[in-house]
Amino acid sequence: MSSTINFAIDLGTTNSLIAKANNGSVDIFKNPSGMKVTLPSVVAFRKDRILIGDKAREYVEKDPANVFAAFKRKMGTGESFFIPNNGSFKTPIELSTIVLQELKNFIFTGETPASVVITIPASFDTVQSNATKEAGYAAGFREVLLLQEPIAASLAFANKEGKAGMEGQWLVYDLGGGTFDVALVVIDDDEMKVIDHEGDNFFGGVDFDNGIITQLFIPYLEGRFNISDLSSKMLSANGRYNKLYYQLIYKAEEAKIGLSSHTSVDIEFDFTDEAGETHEVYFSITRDQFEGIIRERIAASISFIRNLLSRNNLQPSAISEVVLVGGSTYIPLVRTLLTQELGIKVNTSIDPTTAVVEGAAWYAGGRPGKAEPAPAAQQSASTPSGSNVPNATAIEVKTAYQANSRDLEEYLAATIKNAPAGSNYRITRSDGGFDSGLKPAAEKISEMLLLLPNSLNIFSLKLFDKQGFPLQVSIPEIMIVQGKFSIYGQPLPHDICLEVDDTDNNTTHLELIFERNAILPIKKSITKTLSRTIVKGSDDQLLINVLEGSRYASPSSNLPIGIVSITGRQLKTDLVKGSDIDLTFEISESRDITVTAYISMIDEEFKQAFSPSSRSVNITRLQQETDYLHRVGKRQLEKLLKQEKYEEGAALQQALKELEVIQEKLRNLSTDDVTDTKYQLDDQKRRLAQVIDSTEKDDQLLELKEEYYDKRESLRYLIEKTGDKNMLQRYEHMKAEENTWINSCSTQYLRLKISEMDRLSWDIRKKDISYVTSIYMYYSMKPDDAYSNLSEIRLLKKRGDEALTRRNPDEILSIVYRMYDLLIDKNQGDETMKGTGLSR
Amino acid sequence: MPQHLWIKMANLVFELEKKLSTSQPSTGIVRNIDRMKTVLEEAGLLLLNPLGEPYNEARTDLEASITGEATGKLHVLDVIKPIVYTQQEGSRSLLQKGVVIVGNK
Repeated sequence: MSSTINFAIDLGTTNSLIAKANNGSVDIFKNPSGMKVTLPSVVAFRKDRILIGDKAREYVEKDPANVFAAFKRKMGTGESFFIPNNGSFKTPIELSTIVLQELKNFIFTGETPASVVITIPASFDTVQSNATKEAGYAAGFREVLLLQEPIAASLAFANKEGKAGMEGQWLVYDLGGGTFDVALVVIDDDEMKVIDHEGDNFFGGVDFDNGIITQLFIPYLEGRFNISDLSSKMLSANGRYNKLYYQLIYKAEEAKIGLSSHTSVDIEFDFTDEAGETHEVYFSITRDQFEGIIRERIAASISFIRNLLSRNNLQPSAISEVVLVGGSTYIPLVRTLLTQELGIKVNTSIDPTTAVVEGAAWYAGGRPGKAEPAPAAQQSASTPSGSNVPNATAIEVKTAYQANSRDLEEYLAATIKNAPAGSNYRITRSDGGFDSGLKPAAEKISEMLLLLPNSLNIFSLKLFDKQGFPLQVSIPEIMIVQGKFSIYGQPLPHDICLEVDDTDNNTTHLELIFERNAILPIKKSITKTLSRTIVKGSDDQLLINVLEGSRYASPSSNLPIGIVSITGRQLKTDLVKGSDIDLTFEISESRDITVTAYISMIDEEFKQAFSPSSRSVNITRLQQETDYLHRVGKRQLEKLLKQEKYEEGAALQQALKELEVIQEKLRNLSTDDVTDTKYQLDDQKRRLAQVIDSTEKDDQLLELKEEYYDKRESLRYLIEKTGDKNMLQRYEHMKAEENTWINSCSTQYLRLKISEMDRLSWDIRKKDISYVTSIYMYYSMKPDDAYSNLSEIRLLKKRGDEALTRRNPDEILSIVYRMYDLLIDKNQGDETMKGTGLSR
Repeated sequence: MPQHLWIKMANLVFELEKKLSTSQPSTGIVRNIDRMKTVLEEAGLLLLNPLGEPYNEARTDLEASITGEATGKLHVLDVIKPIVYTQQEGSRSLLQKGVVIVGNK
């Protein structure tokens, strides 16, 4: 059990937040649905459910009788709200309790805090304060400490700046979405106190949004499209432009936010005129225009401050600073006017939207908690009216639903036995996209669950007693697969890969397209780059070779299941090395494979479908592979013989002989041969590839693994040296993946991984000025005649020497890259592989 | 690239696609948009356009403004921002609610 309270809640008029102090830092919890930190303090009683937060707010205007917002203003009054939808009454305390309970659902750590700090406005009297406490107890907290909002905000600022507290007396200027408060705070006898405060419950950021609509958008649209009284047509629920009103609210808010960091913003929206024609409207708003709209309101807020100061016989010079709280204080004019008009330093060092809850959490982190957390199952019994709750373990819940669905919603039926009277249930989808809200738990319940297409949808059903406490019932998760799993669908038995060139290592390797066990049908698009130029009219070809097998194996030992060849003869113009090619792969439920290649450079599409019953073997490619295997095998044989490994050598020699037979047969086979010879030869080739692979593999694998581990170690050292967190994350990810392939991969795959390590190292080193300088020096020291263009290389060396003085790695590298291009002898290998023409 | 920038990019791709949907864009443009969407997918983002879908209050993947009388069945009439989920290692979570206008069709 924690010895300090730690948990804090900003129970706001418009929005509420929850946070926790955590060993010297504060974590603000996010709404699991939508990941926002704020929960609108709104509760809606719809016909069959209770909605809280964002969903409730949507109905504020449409169903005002059943939706309750800003009830905080009524705390401590005897007022009750009648709910027409269920005929009952709710007090502001009960509504606040619902919001507090909802905030508890934000705590993803599974903790159920017994104690909490809740913030209250400086204006709250004793009755209102006690009403807030009561709401806290009713929400299940056993200890509730109250803290005034300006004090909480001040604590956040004080903590940020590392001071034990603020100095002298200061103002807390809190301008939120719909309310404005200013408080005068002082430290007196080591105690932080609010001396006085002022406020306006109907002034905030929403007024600024409306100002943009009424003073900028509407006059512009009326003038340009000759419309009269657009305002009424927008605001009337049945008005022609009611939809436009909601679009413009959003656009106005977007403009307001943009103008906090830019001097002008461009807003665009579609507008349909009265003749029914749609126009694209581009609207520029400058900060000056915006400030013209809001200046008067901000000035009015400063008058509040003047009143506050004169009432307390204070000059602005007696105030040490103004700390800003509330999202609307991001507006530069607020900051400027406060400084200009009052001459007081403005403190903006804390995120104004979370300052109150953050400060409250700091406070909670330093206050000892006195209440013991009650076990969750007993929590409801701890509340004053919950003493008759039956044993929750006796509750029985059974669910029935279709585990696979083709529809976008699925019917769930459930029976709930022995639930206490007044209980509610709630069903949520784990990804945050569905929430049934709180609904009465009857013996038989049903719900239409919304499903996200082509995926596994996981729902949880929870029960709550009438006070809103969770009932401890074990209900299995509801798992429904939409779309993918059907009686026709099936998982892929092997990886499906694309063969791509590895020009660095003069070989090809496999790139994963679809992972083993992926569910059919499936589709994926990727973009590749051409690794060599295919000349128009030539016999050279670009090969899109789709193979089935392990992604870690070598391409030649996998089963070719589809190949698209694009030869120079099919082309209207040359395909230049480096140009992009879009590849789309589709596999249907019945395993038909369609490959579509689109080359944007020539705006041409090549499409081919392959059926599982007819295998695709490209004779030219088969020849290339056989030649390559023969070369590799021969090299390996020489090595084995030198090492006097005659036994392994004999097997390899036999394989090479068989390969030569295949080579011979292929030479005599026409490219359009219709017999099944090519399939037989391909099978034989794959078998021989495995023999050659394994002898090569055993020998080289150890060497390559050593190289891999060495590079991995030096990469780790480099990353530690730079302290780059992103790089460290990438490195850790690669390391974690290692176990899945290290003991079963091909040499090609291992080479690929080594290249990945090299690339990561390069990403780090290219930022290191001394390393980059050394590379430049290497190329610069070479004689001019080592390069193909004498005048350019001289110029580059001159520019490079100058760049060294500026110590900019990027600039130096750009010169190095060009020098490398001009280098005549790049020490390339003499045996160049033909490959597929696709680079990785 | 930080996630909020990916989301910004996703919103721009969505807006571009929305603007082009009113005309007949060239296949090249459509392809480029598809490529952008593929890149977003590779970055772990799933973009959904709920235009025309039925709306009800259980849809926490949408932030709706309700236009008109809002009686009877509601549908998504306009999408200002798409729904964005993040997908990582088999788990999915809502990153951005779709900002929509709903009403009677």
